[in-house]
Amino acid sequence: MAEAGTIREIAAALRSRRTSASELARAAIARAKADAYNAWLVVAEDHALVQARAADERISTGDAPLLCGVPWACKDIIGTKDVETTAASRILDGYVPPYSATVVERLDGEGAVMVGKTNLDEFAMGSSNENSAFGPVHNPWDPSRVPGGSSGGSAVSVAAGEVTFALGTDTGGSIRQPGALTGIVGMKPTYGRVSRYGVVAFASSLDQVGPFTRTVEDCAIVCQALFGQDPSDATTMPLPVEDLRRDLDRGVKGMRLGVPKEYFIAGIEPGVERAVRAAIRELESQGAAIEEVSLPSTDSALGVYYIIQPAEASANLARYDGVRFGLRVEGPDLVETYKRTRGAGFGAEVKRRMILGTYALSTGYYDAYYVKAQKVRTVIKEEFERVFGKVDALVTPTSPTVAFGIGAKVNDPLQMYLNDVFTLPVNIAGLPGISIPCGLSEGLPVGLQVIAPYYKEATMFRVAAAYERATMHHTLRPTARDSRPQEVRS
Amino acid sequence: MTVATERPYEIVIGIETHVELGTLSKMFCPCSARWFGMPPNTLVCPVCLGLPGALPVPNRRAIELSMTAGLALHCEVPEHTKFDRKNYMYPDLPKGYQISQYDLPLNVKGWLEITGDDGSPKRIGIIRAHLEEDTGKLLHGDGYSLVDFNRSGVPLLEIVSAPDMSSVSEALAYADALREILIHAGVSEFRLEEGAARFDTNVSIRFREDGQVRWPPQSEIKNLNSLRALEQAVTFESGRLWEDWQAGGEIRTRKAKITVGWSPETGRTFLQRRKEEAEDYRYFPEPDLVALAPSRETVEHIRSSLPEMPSERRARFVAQYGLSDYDARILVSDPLLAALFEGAVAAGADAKTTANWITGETLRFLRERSVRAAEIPFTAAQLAELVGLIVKREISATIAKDVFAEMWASRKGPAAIVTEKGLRQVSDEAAIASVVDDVISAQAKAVADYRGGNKRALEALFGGVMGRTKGKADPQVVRRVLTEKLG
Ligand SMILES: [Zn+2]
Repeated sequence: MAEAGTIREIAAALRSRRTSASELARAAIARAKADAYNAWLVVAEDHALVQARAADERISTGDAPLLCGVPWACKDIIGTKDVETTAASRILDGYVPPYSATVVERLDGEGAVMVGKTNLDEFAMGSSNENSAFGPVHNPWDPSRVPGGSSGGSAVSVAAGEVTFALGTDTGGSIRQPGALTGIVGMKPTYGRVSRYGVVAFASSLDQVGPFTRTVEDCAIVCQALFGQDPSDATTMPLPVEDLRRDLDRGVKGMRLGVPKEYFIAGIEPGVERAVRAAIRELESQGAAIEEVSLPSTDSALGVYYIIQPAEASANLARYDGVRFGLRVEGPDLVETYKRTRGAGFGAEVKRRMILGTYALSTGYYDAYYVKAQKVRTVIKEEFERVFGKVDALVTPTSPTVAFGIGAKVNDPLQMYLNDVFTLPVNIAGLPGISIPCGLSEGLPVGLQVIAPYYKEATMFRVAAAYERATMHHTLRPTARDSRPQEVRS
Repeated sequence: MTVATERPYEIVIGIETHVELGTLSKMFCPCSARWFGMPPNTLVCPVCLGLPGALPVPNRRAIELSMTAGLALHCEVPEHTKFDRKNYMYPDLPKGYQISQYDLPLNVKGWLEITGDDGSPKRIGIIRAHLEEDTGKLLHGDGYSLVDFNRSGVPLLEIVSAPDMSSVSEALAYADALREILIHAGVSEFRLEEGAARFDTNVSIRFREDGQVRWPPQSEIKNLNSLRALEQAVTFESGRLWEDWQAGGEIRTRKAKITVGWSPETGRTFLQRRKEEAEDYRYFPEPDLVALAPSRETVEHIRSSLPEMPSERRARFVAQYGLSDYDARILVSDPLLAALFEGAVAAGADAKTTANWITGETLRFLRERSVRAAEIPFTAAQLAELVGLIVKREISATIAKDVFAEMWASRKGPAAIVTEKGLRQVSDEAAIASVVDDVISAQAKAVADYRGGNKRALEALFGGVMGRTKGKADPQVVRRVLTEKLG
């Protein structure tokens, strides 16, 4: 059972008739079914085979897009018509959406083949994928460790070679961090680039959909299909989407890259810092000017995030009331039915955040928490904008640690939240960010994060592709762990 | 009319009016907003059902209509406005929050004018008018409830008045004036009978006692859906507050307002909740929508395309056409009647006679047939023609009524009807005198009675002449000739 290839490889194989979309779909379905990491919640076999047959027909006409026939996996927080969508929560037990998210429709339009729905932290609330109502996801590099979260299942489906790409959602790092911890490319677009319509809302002002891929080029190809204004999402921007692969081969010579000093804090693992510093030197050796910059409010970002995100979530999750869909636990009266349904339907972390958010929005606390957080949010944005007046992009670690053990942080939410300190400022500011593999520490993948100005995803891809081209980290596979691939040394 | 001055207390009333806007589609989705009478849950989509992942897209027309309403109410349209989430859980609210406007509404600081209890014009302040979405409807059965989401997401304008009304009659005048303005401005049809408009009314009493002004906390009466309910509930609740005060009841110690409901069956209000139990709606800016900044050009464009408002139009009808305030009020109450009036006058008709024929026969026909003014079958030009025949005394008032009925039934013009049926009035004195002679000789008893001093006997003779001429004789000429010949 060979692993899924890159989009370019698949497109070439399909066009030369060396394989068919149906054959690729059957192989991906078999790999998904044999998955040993609890990455999948639904393998949508019939759905995938129907799509694959349609893709084969389209390819036979000689006029198919690059993504036609390419197998992919969908985070189970993204709504799919006629395919159960649970957000890894008991409260959505049995919910089958009557409509697909815009991102799914766009991939359907390209002829891509959705193999199934992947595991996640319940309602995307988590950084380890341990908060799923359907059990934790295991990291293929070391199954005793977490894959990161919340898009853990999607990350693993790509990292384990089961599909070519996957969609995740990123609210505070939920694509980039698991991408880093599983050794693949994970990317969050500028807020407003990609439609959120049909994606189960977590924190509306922070959520964005983005891809997991093996390579930067694949990431750009998927983004090309996803980007663009959606009349159904009033927060998408009416911007033309440029050719995102335009600058992939330009190199970084002459670019100014900023390294924010606040991103190399106490608590960052030495092996992670080593790998990231080495990556920065590599970019410098290719001709980029490296400049230390300062984002002084970085350490306020976590506080801001844990006000705004639970506040929005507390409202977004109010609709799960047992009246129209999903779980309903009947009580003697309305209020008791609400309590029983929501008590049984939501997991501990979801309840924790709804209580936090409800508190932050309550009369008497609103100004001290929510309003203040919004003010600091503006300051954080302004600091990024100021820095981007001097540099073209920022390079940072994606996560302060490599994959940690399952269970290691479940009883310490604050430690868990700290895992996102380098990713969540990007969501707070609404900027685009990408994580790419930059070597191993203790045999586990480390991610390099590239952050670009608003709507400059092409610039971000340019930096990431230059690094990827010069290194082999993206070719490392979890199965190589036993043979102990060389560590990056300083 | 009012008894406020006889009461030992003053009533203080403020009204929050919820009125559905007359858009074709809902506030945040493309579903039809014309929900009344539709089978349950047939006008729904993921957005107005609050399905996971659905997002709101604002209805531009609803925003324009809201600004139109605000400008018609002399409001300011601020440069920055936004939507907020109002959080509470109830089965008719599918998202668990209502998209509304909290601290930056679309319209602020306006007023409308009513006739106060003292007969002079009185301005009632409009604090704000904001846009929000309506909820679904609950249908209660025995031991269960069903939800119909057809109404969910229909655009709703909430207009909050200042507590400027001092009596039940002023409250009713306010509701009437508001209804009239919104209909005139083309913002809403204000269909109270369909539940497309509702009033929440704040009522308190104010009085002097022991040399001090007392103003105990108000009651908010929720969800009044007719003018009658408004009148009865405010009357009841203000009286109840006074009696409670007199009896040394809980109002003497209560610090905060209460919320009550109105039961038309019992004619009483009932307690819904105290302020201490009030919900915390946890408003915060709606992150799924971007803030709005209505351009000054848009505001001025809407302002310049506003039709003339009823109070201004009434004043103009009185000044320009010499109508009574009463006639002007009736004509202006319905834009179609006002247009019919002005159309006929423009076609040359006498204003007062035209007004009489609209407020009289026309309204009587509409009432008897239970139809709206849109179904009046004749044109303004035809009405002008009828009025011309009357004023030139070519037909009598009695004949005119027959002609009017014929116009309604056959949709023919009045001149054609008069000619066709030979109804033209006879004013020729010689012709009338010969008929009078016939009647005098035929009704000798009546003549004798009249000459004997019974002046009422003249009516019998007059009736005789009109009967013989089939009503076509000019009544003034008949009367003069009769008295001359009998004298
Ligand atoms: Zn709808």
